[in-house]
Amino acid sequence: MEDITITEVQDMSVIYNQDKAVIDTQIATAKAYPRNLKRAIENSVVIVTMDYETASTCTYSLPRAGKVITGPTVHLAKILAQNWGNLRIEAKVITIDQKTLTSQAIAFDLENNLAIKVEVKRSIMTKSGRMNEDMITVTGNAANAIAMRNAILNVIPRAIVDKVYNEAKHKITGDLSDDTKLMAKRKKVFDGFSSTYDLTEREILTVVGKAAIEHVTQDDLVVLIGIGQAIKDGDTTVDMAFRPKKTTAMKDVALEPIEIKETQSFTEKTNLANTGKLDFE
Amino acid sequence: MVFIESTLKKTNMIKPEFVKDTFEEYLGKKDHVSASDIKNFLKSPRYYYYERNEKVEKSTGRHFNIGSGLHELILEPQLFKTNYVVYPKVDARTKEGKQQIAEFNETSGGKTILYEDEMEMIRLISENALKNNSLVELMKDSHREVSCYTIDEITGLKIRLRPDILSSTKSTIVDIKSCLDSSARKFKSDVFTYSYSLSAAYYCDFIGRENYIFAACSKTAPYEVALYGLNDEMYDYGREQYRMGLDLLKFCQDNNYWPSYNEFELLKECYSLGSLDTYFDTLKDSQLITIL
Repeated sequence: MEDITITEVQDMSVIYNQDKAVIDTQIATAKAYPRNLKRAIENSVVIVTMDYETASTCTYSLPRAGKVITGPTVHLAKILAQNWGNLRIEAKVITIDQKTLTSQAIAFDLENNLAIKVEVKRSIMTKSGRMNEDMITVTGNAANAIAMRNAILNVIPRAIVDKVYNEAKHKITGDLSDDTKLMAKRKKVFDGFSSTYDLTEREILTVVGKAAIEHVTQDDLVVLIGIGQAIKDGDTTVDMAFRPKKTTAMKDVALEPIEIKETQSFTEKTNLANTGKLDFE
Repeated sequence: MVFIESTLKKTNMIKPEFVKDTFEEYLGKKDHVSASDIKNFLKSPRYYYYERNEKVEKSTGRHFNIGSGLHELILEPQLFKTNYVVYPKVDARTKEGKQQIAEFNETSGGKTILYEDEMEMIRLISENALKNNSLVELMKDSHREVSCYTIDEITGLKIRLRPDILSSTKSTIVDIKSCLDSSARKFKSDVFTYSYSLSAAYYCDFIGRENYIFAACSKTAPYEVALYGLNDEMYDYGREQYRMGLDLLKFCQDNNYWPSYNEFELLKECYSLGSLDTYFDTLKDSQLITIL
């Protein structure tokens, strides 16, 4: 017979007191060693601009429903959190129901006594039904990452996030301080897409919603470079990003012939129409 | 042939039966469930039951005559004269107008009356429709207004469908919709208002076609006609909706239970949580107040 281990359920107040003690200690440490704002920003910038590869992991661009979604990545949020310091961050899946899972992340700025809780919901349905357990775990991890990013970016002031994010974008596009440099960069990016993926200028411009190459801005270039990175990483494909799905409605296909029965009422009605007796008055 | 066979295997779909019958015969098959029935049911089972079994007077407003007349003129012009007749516009609200229409009805042989201005509008819309090359291409080698009868494998419910245009050479169904404004923005709003995504998924899945195209015909000058298709998310949503509708309709039929709005919200919640078997127990303990 199997041994049965009986575990006594801990009193909730004990758990609460344990957590409280840990948090109190962390707050005390944060107060004793406050962050150096200037150093936190400088260190973050140094890391994100360390090289092109690191900078390019700090921004994402994904085509969704005819638009391009772009913004700072989980990676950038983690770099910011590491250098910001005195942060307590948690992310976990809190519910999994029939169709969705919900992830919750909390970012607690121990120094300023500011905690922000964010929830992210993700569908766990596919065309063939509910995902298997492995896929639910993968989806849960992805939701945790997004919830954590959103929590961190809500706790750290927007001005600081933007400063570091813009530095990463500058590193990606290179020096575009004057029109000549911007034009040269546009040409380089467009030529790169054309030669590598056989894309027309029109297809590239459609993604950033611009009518002519002269209207492409630095931010548009970041979007395009981000898409290029997503294609390289396998997160999207050239067709998904630049050639949105066209309907197959007009395409001829081989179909099984349909056998149609005719009811008597219909036959009588058609015969009446053919006699011409009921001509239009 | 290849597509149909692979689709049937994939969804284990029962092969539908196609019948060329009259619209009245199609509507008369009350034991079959149409996409409109599912939409009524998803409003509330009580409403569905009322529409099917209790409603005495069916409202046939002018818009209904215009819509059906437009369908006939575009799809089966040879039958148009058999079913429709044009009459000078009268005010049907007045005693005199009512009498004129009643007298005319006696001699018209049961034809549907279209007023002169309505006929002119229908004529202009159909002219524009037939100038649309893509629509004409889809109408070539197609079956028009053919009824389709099949069975839902999961619930065993009988299903009825009547595609406006069923192409023989393309995996496409076309639905002609008359609307006040056929612009993309307004029609997208109609898709949500009238649950067109449910219709699209219902027809594609039960007939075994890939595409459902709406031919939106504007009833206001210059009577523009535009073709629209739905994105994958819209199909998925429609599929999810009709599946829930059929499953819950079966539940309501089996229990001869036709709940109203509050109870239906609870029923849908139990369905999404997979706990329909405990619905009636849950109902007893519920306050039946839906938070909006």
